[in-house]
Amino acid sequence: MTPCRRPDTLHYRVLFQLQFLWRRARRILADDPATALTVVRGGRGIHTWAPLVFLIAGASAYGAAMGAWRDPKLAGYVAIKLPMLLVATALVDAVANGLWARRLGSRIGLGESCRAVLMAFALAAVVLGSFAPVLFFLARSLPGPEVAEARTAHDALGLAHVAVIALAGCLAVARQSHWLATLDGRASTATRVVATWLGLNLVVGAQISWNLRPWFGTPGLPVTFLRADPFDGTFYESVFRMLGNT
Amino acid sequence: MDEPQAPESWSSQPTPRDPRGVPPPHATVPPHSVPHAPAPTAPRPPLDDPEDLERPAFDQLLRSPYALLARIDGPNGTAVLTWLAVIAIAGHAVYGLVVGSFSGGDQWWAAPTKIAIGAALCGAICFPSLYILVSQSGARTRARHVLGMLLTMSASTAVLLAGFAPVAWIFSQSSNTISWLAPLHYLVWFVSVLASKRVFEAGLRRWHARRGALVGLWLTVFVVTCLQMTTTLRPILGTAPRALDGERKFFLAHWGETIATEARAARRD
Repeated sequence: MTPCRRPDTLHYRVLFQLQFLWRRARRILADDPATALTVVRGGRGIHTWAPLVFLIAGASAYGAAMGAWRDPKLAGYVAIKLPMLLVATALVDAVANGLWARRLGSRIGLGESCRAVLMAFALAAVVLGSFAPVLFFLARSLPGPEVAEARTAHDALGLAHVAVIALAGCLAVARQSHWLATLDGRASTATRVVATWLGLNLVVGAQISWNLRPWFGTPGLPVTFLRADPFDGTFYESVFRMLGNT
Repeated sequence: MDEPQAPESWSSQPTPRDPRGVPPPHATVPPHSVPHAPAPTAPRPPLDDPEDLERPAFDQLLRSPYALLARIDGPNGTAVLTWLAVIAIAGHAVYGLVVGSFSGGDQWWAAPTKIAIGAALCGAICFPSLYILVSQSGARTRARHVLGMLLTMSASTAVLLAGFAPVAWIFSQSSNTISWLAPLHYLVWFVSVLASKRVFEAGLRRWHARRGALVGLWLTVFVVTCLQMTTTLRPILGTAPRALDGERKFFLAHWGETIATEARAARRD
């Protein structure tokens, strides 16, 4: 019996890739370490850019929900900036992450560490994206930026975002620790490496998010893609100034 | 079959899978690492009562959600999902009639419509996060299974609400105070949701989840979303010049204002 040969058209190729991507994503979400490690170890074609696709999709959806309270324009801006923030943080930290992994005794290479960080960011982005409908609904049903209760709504939404981001971060870090423990073979080394990466990524990510603000949109300030002087000052200087003022 | 076979002309595609889960030869595999074989298919945990599979679907909804969820994988899975959706909408609408009986007039049709539509919207808004959190629990599910759990939970809540309807009706006819009746309705709804939580426990057991706390977290998100939805779709209890208020308000702020308004009115009287 002659096997049925699938058509080799562009449309079918795209469909095949999407189907393959989706199956991989489901396995990674269900904590199948073999599938995750196939991506972290690096392969050809789809394994390289699949985490980027999910990172951009999830982060864009969540970014749109984040900016939706202030203005639809800001929703569009943050949908672009949030994936940029995650990718920029991974790239800026790539060399430092790889070197410190080696320094702490891990056997993973520079490429593997970069892919592990991107995978974790992609997982966090998918979790964030899944909460985008909830936060978008809250953003559109709470008092808007033009009314007297705007400050309360701004703070309540801010807390909700912090809670969701914390959840996504915790899930991603836990999974990343599991992947590294499986890849390296030593759970204690993996824990030290992940803790170091977390510290580095938080420090750098906070600064890059400061450069790329606004995110949430303070009532009264104009809606722009970036502030007038995005590289004027640092996140930590502003925190220090706020502490000094209080 | 988990993944489709790559056509021969696509030489750049991923290499075919090895059923033992061993990585392909071109990948860099440290000599010390042991590739993980795919987890063998675990035997399904036994039902609490094997006769549960033979019960009618409605009985399974209340007594054995595990057996009802098993039907979703069967030949009539789509029909089961449709039936669950209908039960969910109908049960919420029945309770909405009781809620609307407090004010009468337009609320006879507005309250059931808003409660049924609101429940459906909350399910739709929270479905993506449920899917992700169920997956993160380690359960080997598809979107269809998660939809089944959500619809079963919703249908179970709706049936329990409909069961409480006569009780709520008695109180609706005996009281004129929204700030007393609204918490009563919320309490009835919350008890029904809590009693339906076992659907998720059954689903996670059926699909071999390793952690259940994440779904508990989702339930918190779902409850908050539903509470906000009742404020967004107001008025549901009581009357107003328009069918939908339109003003954006946090549900806690709305409750506070309602209680304060009725307290002032009571002091004047």
